[in-house]
Amino acid sequence: MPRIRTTPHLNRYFPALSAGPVEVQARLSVADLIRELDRRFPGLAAYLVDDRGALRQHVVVFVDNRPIDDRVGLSDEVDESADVFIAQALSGG
Amino acid sequence: MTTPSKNLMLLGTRKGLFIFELDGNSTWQFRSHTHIGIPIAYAMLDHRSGILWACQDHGHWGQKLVRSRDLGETWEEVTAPAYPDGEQIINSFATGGKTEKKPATLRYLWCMAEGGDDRPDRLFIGTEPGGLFVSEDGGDSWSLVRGLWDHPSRTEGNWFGGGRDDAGIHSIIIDPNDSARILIGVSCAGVFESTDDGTTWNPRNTGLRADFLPNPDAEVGQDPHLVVMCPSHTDALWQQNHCGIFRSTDGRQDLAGRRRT
Repeated sequence: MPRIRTTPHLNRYFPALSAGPVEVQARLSVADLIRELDRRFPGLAAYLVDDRGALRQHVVVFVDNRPIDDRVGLSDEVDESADVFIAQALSGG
Repeated sequence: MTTPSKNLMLLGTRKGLFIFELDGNSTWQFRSHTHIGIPIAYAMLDHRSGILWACQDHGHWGQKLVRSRDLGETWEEVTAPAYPDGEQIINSFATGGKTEKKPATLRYLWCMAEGGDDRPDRLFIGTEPGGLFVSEDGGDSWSLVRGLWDHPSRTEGNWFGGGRDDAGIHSIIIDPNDSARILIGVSCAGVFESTDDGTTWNPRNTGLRADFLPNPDAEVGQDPHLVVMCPSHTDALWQQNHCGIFRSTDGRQDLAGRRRT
């Protein structure tokens, strides 16, 4: 059962995310996963992807600590034991 | 509801929205600071409905549109305009001299406007990369104004970014005497006017200067920074750009006025 964590910065807009990691049923793609998150937390997808469904420029999705390859189609697979982490870019000096 | 619009000052900043209210002693009093830490690209009080609008420019999470029915005490997020699938940004001035095409997605909610007193549910939003969006249901849903988006000057690649990466609409004017007459300012493209509710559009840039272009008098390619109409004399338009401040006193045919030096 994939386990999804999100950056705490999203908690401000979606307080329910602060309840802890989200678990989803079954194996799926990253696109499916974001759809499922949006179903549970309405509006969340628009924070992660743009008008055409591609990952926003400064958002990254890690699957088992590796950034996904397909940032446009979100076709990377998330297997049943995966750890997923969604974060925003950090910059500065 | 009665809106004290003349007594409110809305300041959209990189650190949120500040609201000040004019008291009986003609002194601006701090009223609220909301959306703390979130850049506010634009804020507007719709004097028809009393609804306060704010356009958020999240660095990471995209452009969000929020509204308040109690002058900023509480807010709700509404669905922001989105570009339809397959729409493209077309730029013939891209580096290397080749026409660049890339997917059009919402980059910035640059300005908003009421749609006229006789259209109480109509609102407009001007965006980067150059789309004008209209809502006919008080902001619950938005659609792209096709007549402008499909204007040949844009589809031929003659709109391009000025201070931002791609062309954007920063000024929207609705004639208070005729809500079917709409003027917009596009950076970079120029001033455009529709007199038929946004169905067809014509550039209104005669007389403007763009000294940085190969043809400073180009009809399209001007970089207005702001276009405003005198509310009590609607034939008077003002436009400011890199090369000066221009005015038009015939309201529509040109902005030939004069250059301020």
